[in-house]
Amino acid sequence: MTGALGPIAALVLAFVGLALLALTQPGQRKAVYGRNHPPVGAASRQAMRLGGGVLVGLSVAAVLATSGPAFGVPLATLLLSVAAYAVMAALTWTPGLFRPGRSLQIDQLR
Amino acid sequence: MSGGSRREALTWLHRWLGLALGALLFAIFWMGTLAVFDREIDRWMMPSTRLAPTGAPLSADTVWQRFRAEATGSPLWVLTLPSEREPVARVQFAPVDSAARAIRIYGSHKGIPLPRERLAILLIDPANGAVLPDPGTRGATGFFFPFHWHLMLGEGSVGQWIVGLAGLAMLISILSGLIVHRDLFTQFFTLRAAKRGGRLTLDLHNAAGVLALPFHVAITFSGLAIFYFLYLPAPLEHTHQGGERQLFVESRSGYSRPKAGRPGEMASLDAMIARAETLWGGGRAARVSITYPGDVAAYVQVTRTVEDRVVNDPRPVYFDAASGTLLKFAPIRPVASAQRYIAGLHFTGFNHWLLRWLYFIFGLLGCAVIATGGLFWLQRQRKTGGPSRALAAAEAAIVASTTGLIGATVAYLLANRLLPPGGSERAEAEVVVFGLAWVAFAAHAVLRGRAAWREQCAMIAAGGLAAVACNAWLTGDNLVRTLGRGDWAVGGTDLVLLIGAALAGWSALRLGRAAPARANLVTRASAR
Repeated sequence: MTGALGPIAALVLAFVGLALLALTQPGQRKAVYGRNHPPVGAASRQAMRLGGGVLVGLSVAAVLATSGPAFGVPLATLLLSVAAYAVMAALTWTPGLFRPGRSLQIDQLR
Repeated sequence: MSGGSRREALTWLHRWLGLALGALLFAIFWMGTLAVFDREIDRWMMPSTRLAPTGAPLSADTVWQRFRAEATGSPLWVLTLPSEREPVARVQFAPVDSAARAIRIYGSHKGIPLPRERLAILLIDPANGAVLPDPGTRGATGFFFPFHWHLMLGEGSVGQWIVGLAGLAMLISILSGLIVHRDLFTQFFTLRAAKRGGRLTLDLHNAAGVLALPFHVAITFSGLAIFYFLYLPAPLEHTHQGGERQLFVESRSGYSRPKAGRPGEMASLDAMIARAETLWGGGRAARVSITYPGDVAAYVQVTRTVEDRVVNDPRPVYFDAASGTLLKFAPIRPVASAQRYIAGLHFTGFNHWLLRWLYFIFGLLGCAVIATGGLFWLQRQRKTGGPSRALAAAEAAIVASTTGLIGATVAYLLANRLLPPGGSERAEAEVVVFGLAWVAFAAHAVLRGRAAWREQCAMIAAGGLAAVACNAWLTGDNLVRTLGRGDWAVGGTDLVLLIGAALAGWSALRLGRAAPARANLVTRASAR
């Protein structure tokens, strides 16, 4: 059971990371928040891209740490693809998943 | 060349490579995907081999004594020990009069490039050493797997070259597809499920291709890299006197010596296995091979299992058969080790179940990329060019090579359950059923046009359900029983058949709903 923890953690991290990256794209934001939602500011976009990239990196690291490099490289790669499909499916069929509250708007907080 | 015309040229290349080789690529991907679970499908197709694992290891000496008289004088005798995925032992030996030089064994995991077709194969019950009755089937290891890498045309044949060229075409298609994709990044996560027709098909094609891109590239490249010595022989002739054979001896710790032609003794094989396992420092033996059994110059090769690692290096250890003296044990060269890692990524000899399932699912996605590519081209042609004979022929070819091939596979499984018991002639009859079913599905596609998609999906669904029912009825191994005793090989195959049947049935229903809607549109358009 403990062997499954690495891949599960990796999948969650990759899903959140890729979702952040997806939400920096105007087309995906429109699908999630609607047409009238203000576009994401430059600083927010930068922060989301950085956060997404870090989470994806952590996902790969989680697999490499628990499965070793030989199995870890193919496993991390395929789990990233699985997470990407999950993000695509969520954006397509349950976009509400990405707006539990309000969207992240660092620019507006300043 | 301007950017626009370069994109146009690559679009042309992508389209025509897909159209020309799509059917072949789909067959290679489909068979490779099934081969990911070849041992498990073997258990489903060979009920006599559904054995519970034995606690005690099988004695190689006991098995050798059983075959000593028959195998003496033959150029090669091989014992494959039982494993987690294959609970039976396998004895293979070449006929006594066959040419020794034609037999090449380098100890690779799945028997490549051991020419299976030239060896007699007997299955052994590891509990008592008894020879099991001929299963009368090639199973998945003897059909899906060889179909995948040489189209059943034989090792080193033109089939292997065709598969290699198709692999190269796949790589070119992937690269050209990436370049011609107009909105690779902005549509990275896009699937417009509410759209219909070409738009949705293209989104599915892009999603199946782009999001699984690392898998498609890695699996295609690694498939080519396995047989680099076949596809690129010229450099080997310069670097190795003796070419391919010498390369294996040098880089992958091969060993050979000529036959003496005088009778010799046989030392304990079990002692050699124990010595090899000590030398490996972990890991168990997978296979024991005796070259020139019964000859004074006979030698034994013991290879290691690769089920606990990705790298496909069986670390062969060679012993003098008569004395049991160690002849050779050397690690493979670093570059060869890297090549064996790439090969291991393709062979999936490892017992990593999550990775194995991911390979299976992504293999299906590879099939989906090829099928949706063909379907998108059809939809586009219908829209721009209207119906024509050439388009109808192209549609029939695409149907036959996708749903037709899947249907023929289901027919092969059904034949396995329904043909009367028998030996090798029964095994060949199953392959004949596969071929005839494929031809019948192709003929159906020609006769029925667009309706063939729906009808073949319905036939696949019915066939899948029938296969599961026949397995339960004729062997008594229904899902409750197999899963209850933890037999995931047979139970899992049944489950996948049921899921496949459900998906095919759902597709048939959806296509059935779409057909009247299309007909209404045509009626309204012609009334205007």
